[in-house]
Parts: sequence; C-alpha cells; structure tokens
Amino acid sequence: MDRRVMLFVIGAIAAGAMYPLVSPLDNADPSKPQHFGLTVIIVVIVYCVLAILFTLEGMSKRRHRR
Amino acid sequence: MTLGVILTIAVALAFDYTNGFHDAANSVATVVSTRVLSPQMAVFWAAFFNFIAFAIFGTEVANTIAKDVVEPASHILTVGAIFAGLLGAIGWNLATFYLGLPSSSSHALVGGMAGAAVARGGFNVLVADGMRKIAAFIILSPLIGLALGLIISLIISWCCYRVKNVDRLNKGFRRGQLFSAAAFSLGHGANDAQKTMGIILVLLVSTGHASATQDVPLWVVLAAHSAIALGTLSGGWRIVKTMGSKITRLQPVGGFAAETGAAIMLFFASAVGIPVSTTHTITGAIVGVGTQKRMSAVRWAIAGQVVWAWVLTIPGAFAVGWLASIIIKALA
Repeated sequence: MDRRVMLFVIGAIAAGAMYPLVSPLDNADPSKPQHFGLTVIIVVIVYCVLAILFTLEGMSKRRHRR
Repeated sequence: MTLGVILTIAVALAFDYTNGFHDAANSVATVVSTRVLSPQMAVFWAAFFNFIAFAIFGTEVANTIAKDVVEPASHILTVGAIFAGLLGAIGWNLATFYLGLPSSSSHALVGGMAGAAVARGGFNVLVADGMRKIAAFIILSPLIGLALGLIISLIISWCCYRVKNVDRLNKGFRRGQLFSAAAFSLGHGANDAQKTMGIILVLLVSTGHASATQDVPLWVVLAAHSAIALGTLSGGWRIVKTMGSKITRLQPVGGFAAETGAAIMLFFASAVGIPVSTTHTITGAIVGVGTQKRMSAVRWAIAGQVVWAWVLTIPGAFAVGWLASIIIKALA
C-alpha cells in the first residue's frame, strides 16, 4: 500500500477512536455550542477522502508508467 | 493578598513566559526558515500578535483549565498544590527545552496540575469529562492540523499550477506568510495565555479573592498576554531548528499553508474552549504540507521523536507535579 494512503487510513482510524471519548460531551453543557462528535466525524471523512484520492493517484501513475 | 498567592501568581506568569519562550519557535520557524523575516523581526512580529489576541478572543480556554481539569468543589487546589503543579509544568518544559524537543507546554500544565491534585486527593478529584476532552484533542489537533495543511497546499497548487513565473509566486507567498504567521501567533496567544489565566483564576477563587462564577479579571488577562509576548520576544532557537527545517524543507507557499491550517485549528479550539497544543498543531500542519509533495519529503525519524515527546509530556509533568506536591505538603 502507498505510504500516503497508509498514513491517512491510520489517521482516520485514530480520529474515529476518539468518537466514543468526545461524543458524550456534546450534551454535557447545553448552554455551550459543542460539536465535538461532529468534528470527529468530519475529520474521519476528510481522512477517508484523502486516502481515496491518493489511492486513485497511485493507480493512475502505475497505469501511466505501463 | 498573602505572599504565597503573590509568589504563585509570579510563578504562573513565569510559566507563561517560558511557554512563549518555548513555543516562539512554532510561530516563527516557518517564516525564518523560508527567510521571509529575520529571526529578530519574526519574534517581534509574533510577540505583538500574541499580545493583541486578548482583544479578539474570549476566555473559554481559561474556564476549561479552571473548572474542567480538577473538580473545583473538591477544594484540593490550595496555594501549595497550584504551586507544585506549576513546578511540574516548568520542570518538564525546561527539560524538553534543554533536549531541543518540541513537547507541549499546555499538556505539561495539565499534567502538572493533575499530578499535584492527585497527590493530595486521589484520582477522583479529576474531572473525567474535561480530561477526556483534553486527551481526545491531543490526538485530534495534530490530525486536524495535518489535514488542513495538506488541503490548503493542495488548493494552492490547483489554483496556481498555470503560473509559470515561480519566483513571482514565491514572492506573493512570502508576503502572504506575514499574515499567516500573524494569524498563527494570534491563535497561539489566545489559546496558551488563557491556560495561565485559568490557573490564576483557580488560585484567586480558592483563596477567596474572586467568586467561582466570576469572569477572568482584566488585570489577569493583560498580565498573561504580556508574559507570553515577552517570552516569545526572547525566542527559543533550539526548537526553531527542529520545527523549521528538520521535519521538512519548506518553501514560502508551504509555510503559508502550514501556518494558515494551524491558525484555523487554533481559532476553532480557542472559540470552543479546548486547550490544545500549538506545537502539536503546527507540527501536524508542517507534516501535511510535506506529505503533499511526497512522503519522503517528511523526515519521519524526527516526526517520530516529536510524537514520543507528546506521549511522554502528560505522564512526565504529572510525575514532577505529584512529587513537588508531596514535598511541599511535607514541608508545610
């Protein structure tokens, strides 16, 4: 696997692992705008998209070389 | 005010000074390594924006440090305990500064305070929700910084790929870096100075000089921002070297992307009251910019060394704070 893809897959897993830690805090103090769970979900999605982009880039480079 | 309270406030401000001194490198490393500003001008620029951050951001982070690390109702944070916690944080900061490791002053403070409190009241005096939030963002802040640094540098390369005059492009981003460094220094001042404000607020509340519901007094806000700005002005050159050139070699465009990405993360954290590490955030952003070029552009051994410094910061400062708290209690 491309090292960049690996970095973003590991990053998505690491960020996702934070979800159970922070999502219960969203309702802890309703007076404050807290969207920690949503923040984690956005980070995971961004990392997955970047992993897909770099996978596609790697595939197109390999095809081009052939 | 008693002599003990005045002395502890002085130590808290000294910690803020060491924080500025230690983290000056984060604000100025990319500007210096891309030769946009001379080292002297760069620290002056950063110190100015560290100071004026008080006029822009609130005190959410200060409230998190004051109320979400150690349970305020436990009354564990006496003058001696706060003093011990600060000793833990300063001790850890000086050790990592001596070794040239970019560890986090913020997490050293949280670790030191937690260690000092646990030495006196056990683990149940810690606020589980607050510690959980801080722990999660130890992982999340460099990850968000990395993603933002990479995305901004990707957007720039998509927008500018037709530009043939690279020198002109670099000249434009050299100017742009003045703004990105200023934005990062604002975020640094806002997030880091508030941590000291939080400690001073706890001290004032525990000694009856302020009420638990009160906002941070203006003199505390001004004193904390002045201390961090003076610390930045003194500069921390050992770490400039690690941050500016050892992780990856940066061009002005990369410096701009890294600082802007890190600044966005710090603004978000300061607005929602999360005490994050400016060091973690800018390191993540620099790695993100390096990754955009190619993976081998990042010196992973140095990045790995930085990660070890992150992992060890809270336990290290916790141990020093715990020990200092026990010694001070025995002497009192």
